[in-house]
Amino acid sequence: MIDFIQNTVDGVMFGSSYALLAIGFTIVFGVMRRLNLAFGASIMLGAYMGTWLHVHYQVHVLVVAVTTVACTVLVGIYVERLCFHAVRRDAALASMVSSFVIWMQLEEAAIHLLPERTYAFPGLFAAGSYEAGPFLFRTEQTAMLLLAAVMVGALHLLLHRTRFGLALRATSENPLAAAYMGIHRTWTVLCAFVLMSLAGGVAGFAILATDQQITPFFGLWATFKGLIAMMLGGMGSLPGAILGGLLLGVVEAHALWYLGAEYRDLSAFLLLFAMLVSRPGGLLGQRILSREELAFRRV
Amino acid sequence: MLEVRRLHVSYGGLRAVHGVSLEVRTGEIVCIIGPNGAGKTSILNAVSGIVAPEAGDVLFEGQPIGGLPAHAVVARGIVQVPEGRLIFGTLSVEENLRVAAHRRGPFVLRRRDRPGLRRLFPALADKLDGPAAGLSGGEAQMLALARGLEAEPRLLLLDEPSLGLSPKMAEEVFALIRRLRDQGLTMLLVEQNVRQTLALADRGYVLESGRITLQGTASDLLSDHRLVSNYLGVSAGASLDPASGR
Repeated sequence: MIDFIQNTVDGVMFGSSYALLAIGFTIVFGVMRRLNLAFGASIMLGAYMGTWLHVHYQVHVLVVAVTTVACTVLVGIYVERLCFHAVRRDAALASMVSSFVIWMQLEEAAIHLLPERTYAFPGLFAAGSYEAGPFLFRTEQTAMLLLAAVMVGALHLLLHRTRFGLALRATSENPLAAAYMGIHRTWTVLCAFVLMSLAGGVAGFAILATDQQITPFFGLWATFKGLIAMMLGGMGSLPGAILGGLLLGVVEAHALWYLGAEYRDLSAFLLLFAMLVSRPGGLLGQRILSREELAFRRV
Repeated sequence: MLEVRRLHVSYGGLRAVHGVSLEVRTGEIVCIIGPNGAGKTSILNAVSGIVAPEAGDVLFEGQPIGGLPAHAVVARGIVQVPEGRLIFGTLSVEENLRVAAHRRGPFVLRRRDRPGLRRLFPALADKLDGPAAGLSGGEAQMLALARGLEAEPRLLLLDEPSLGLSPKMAEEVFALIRRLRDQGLTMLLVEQNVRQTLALADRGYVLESGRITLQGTASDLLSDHRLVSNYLGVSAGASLDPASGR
């Protein structure tokens, strides 16, 4: 039982960063009904910039953090301009395919920056742990959970307490009605990408600072984890993204403990498959799916 | 105030509006009436920037606005209350109103007193915190109107405001439009409810298959033989004629 609780707590901690990745996907999906498949690669390129500074100039970890997040945002804007703004509004598939192609380009750019395979990434804290009763908490993972919680809180405030957040939510619910109300669509979409990249950059830094290393597979990994977590929670739903991320983290933590490291990713895919078969809309995404269906029926 | 000249609107090769010219003067209520699919909504959408005109000019206070994006048109003071209301069901009533006010004030939202809202829309004022999806059809139409007004329009485009409402609710909507006119708001109104619309409007245009077939003051149109027989039906026409009175 203690093992079970311990694993669950570990899973929640790691799942918090999956939740941030899923939030990134879901914000842009909500506004555009499109997937930005280059998301993971954008984070990876941003993190490679931070790592590059760390490797060549031994800068402080906070500089690495700021560089990672700032560069992820810049790359996110680049992706939006190229794959989403420049592609016609009704060509949703073209946008997704081009974001997939940009994924390759961003990975190439990152590998040109730092050509070898694995680099050390600075941690926020030295690896350590503390005990509370029978449970053991890793310091870096606790920091990750706190960082994710702060980020979610900030996003919530932004979405619910500002005019910009309201415009974003209105556009997510009904882009046409938002246009009638004079909401600037191009600007709202760009802002959604900036938010996505902010969430992704913070998640990327938190994950890498916990792992204390970065490999060229990070982009692929981040895209997969974020997409799976979003699908679990329900596309376009922010609470769903958080729930999906935590659920994914917990299931992976249990699989890691009871079945072994090689079953960790397998369990994630199994979970996604089970969810898609039993509840295609995800845990909290039912309403959005059915509204889309309604829209189709009306057409 | 608004001048539309030889406007053409097409959707993927299908032409919906063929060279329509119309004018709205300050303080007027002008209506466009006509059967379903005549292109009434297309004209409004071309004015508000939701669709780009294929050809022709749209002038607002002398400035060309044809082809401007919707947000730029709203910024100039033209606001459309769309057909089917299109309220944001997942947002609260209050948030629906704030969406329209997005151009105004600071970055962080502050809840303002809404005496105007309470006066014009008493039913809404008590439901500000509830989800907009919980409103009845009539209340939703009132919210759509209130939301449009929140954007502080100088010209309000109303697309089928009485559609799908009970006769009693429709009467309330028309009464509200009358009050707005008395406050000096200029309106371009698209309606299928011909008689009530003409009773309200100053002037009207009859649109058929994307062309204006008839125009004039509302009272001229009401007594026009063709319009009466086509849209009001013979019996309706008879009851309109005081000489035939029963």
